[in-house]
Amino acid sequence: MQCPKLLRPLYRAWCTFSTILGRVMSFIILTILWLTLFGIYAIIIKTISAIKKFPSLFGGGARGGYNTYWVDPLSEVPNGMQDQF
Amino acid sequence: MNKPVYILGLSCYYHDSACVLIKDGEIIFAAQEERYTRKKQDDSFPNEAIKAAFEYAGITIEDISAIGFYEKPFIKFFDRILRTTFKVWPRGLMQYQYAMQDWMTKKLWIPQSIRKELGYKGDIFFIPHHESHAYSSFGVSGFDDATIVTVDGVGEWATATIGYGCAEVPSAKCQVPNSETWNLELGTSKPVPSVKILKEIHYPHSLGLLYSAITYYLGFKVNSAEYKVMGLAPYGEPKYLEKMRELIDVKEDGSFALNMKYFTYEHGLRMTGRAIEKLLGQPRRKPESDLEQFHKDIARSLQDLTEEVMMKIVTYAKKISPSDNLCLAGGVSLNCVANGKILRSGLFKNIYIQPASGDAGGALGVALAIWYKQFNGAKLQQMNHSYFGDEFSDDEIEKCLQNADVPFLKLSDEGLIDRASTLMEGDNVIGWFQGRMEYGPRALGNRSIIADARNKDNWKKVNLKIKFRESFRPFAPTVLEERIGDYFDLDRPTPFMLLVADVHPDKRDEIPAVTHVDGSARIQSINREQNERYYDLIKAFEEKTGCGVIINTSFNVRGEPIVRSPEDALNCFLNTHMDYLVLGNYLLTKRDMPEDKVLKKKDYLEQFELD
Repeated sequence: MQCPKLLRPLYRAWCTFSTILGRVMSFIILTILWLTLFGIYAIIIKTISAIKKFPSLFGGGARGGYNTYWVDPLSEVPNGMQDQF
Repeated sequence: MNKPVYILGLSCYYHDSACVLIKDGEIIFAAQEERYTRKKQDDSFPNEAIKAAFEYAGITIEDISAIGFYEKPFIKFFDRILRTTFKVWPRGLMQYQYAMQDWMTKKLWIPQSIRKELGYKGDIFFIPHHESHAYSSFGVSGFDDATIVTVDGVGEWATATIGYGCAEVPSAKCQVPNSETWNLELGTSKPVPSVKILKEIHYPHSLGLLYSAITYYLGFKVNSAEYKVMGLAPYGEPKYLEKMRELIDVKEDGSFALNMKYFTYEHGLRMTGRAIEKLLGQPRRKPESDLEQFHKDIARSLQDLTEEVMMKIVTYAKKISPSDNLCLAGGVSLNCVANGKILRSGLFKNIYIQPASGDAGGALGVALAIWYKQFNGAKLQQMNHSYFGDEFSDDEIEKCLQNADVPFLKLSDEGLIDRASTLMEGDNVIGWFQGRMEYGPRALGNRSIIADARNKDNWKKVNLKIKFRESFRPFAPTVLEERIGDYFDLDRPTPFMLLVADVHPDKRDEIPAVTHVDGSARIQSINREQNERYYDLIKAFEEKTGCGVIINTSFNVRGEPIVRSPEDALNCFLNTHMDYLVLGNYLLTKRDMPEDKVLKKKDYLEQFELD
């Protein structure tokens, strides 16, 4: 369906407005998620990590006390080429 | 008659998107999307490149047997990116915002995008990022076995890997010498290459990102201008090498960990912050500001460090997956100075480096992985050229010239070689557009700007008046393959401009325009089988002048993707100080061009973002 010529500026303005609104809403929603879900989970993980005294999981400075930084690759899923993981 | 197997490999949504089409194990088309959209290192879905591939092959999407994507998006997002987000929280809000919007709208929907964009209904395959790199090199190396090393910025988790490649038959198992065995699932008597990744280094510890971070610190564009740092290094001294050791802890086995207090890329939109400025003693260089000796010394120190780490990695790789052959891929493998050092170390008899070593090469890697792993396809011969892109017939070129209403001269094949080789003598600079476009970041004689390497002034002229780029940037030579040893300290062909070697001291004055300040050169060799017309041109130049070396640089201006079509080439020619343009068999002379068509330089250059 074609937009009538007369309404095209209105259509463009509405589309621009909706794009901006979408970005603003996304920003707000993602920030709320960041402060709540991500925040809570991050605090839990950081606490567990601190308890386990396993700082390498969370990087930080250059890692001391290792003989090598090579690690084994993630295990291959059999016939996993069709999977995205 | 059996239906041919067409496999389409794709890389996109990070940087340098590309597509590769292989037919029954033969590469028939490969190109980067940037050449079509004219946006350097375009990361968008490679629609235009795919369209061109199908057109070239004369097929439709219905003929495609499988499509592959060059990495595993879910591992990247749900594992690496989310875990990093938790790790850096409460920092990293803006990076999280960008990442989430990007992933939610595009990157988590790869199969859907492929099906929607292409109308494809068949199988889609995914392999890990570094496995794509490994296949892109070993899969076309022609070797029966090889030590494989891939190093880049980051894939899913891995930033560097050591692997082993094997193509032995008819046994159903490949074995890394002295250790692991894995099933090939063959069932055929053909040699089928297979790759096994043995060791990895994980994000955030990355040699590629270290190089990018210092590139950023030096005021150049990340993921684009790393090669400038490499070119800048010979002007400096490694005065900051010891300070840089604070940035990275390197073990004897080549493994390394970055000191993350100096890097901000995990949580910020920048690569480095104040800590590194404090360590190195100066603030980050503002883009386009003057380059001082300090910046050159930083570049040199980084280059030396990179070479040292790469040497340790390949030494360890040789130890755990021994072979006489080495395959390299990943963005860091474009560091041809490091490659030259590895070659000269004598650790390996043969080295193969994928010319499209960056992410564009991932498209080839995944296509090959599907061919070998899913179709038990036969081993490909060594890929010794990269001319897999678009080509234009003389008719198409003539039509373009007529539409543009510019004067031109059509020459015979022999006449063209004779005329162009004569024009090249002295200070003329020629745009050279022939045959199929190159795949990968280098112009290797089909989309090139060429000039006389004996004239030192050509270095300055091409940098400042034609490419409009920094004056320190060196030029690479193309040399006739049979004359490599006459000019360079190198004993083998280097068709992809991926090895740096010294120019013989007694030859440096003969070819000053391609001899870098430290007496080295980034060499491309050419033989007639690889590129008949380009070889004939240099041969004719040699017959006239005695010099078998010319300048070869990519046909573009700064920030512009290499030209693809006659229109792109003509635009570039008209808006620079290039003297002649050769398009197929057509010769254009700048002084004959209508005045109203030439040198609207400002408008032209403004189209392209500086790198």
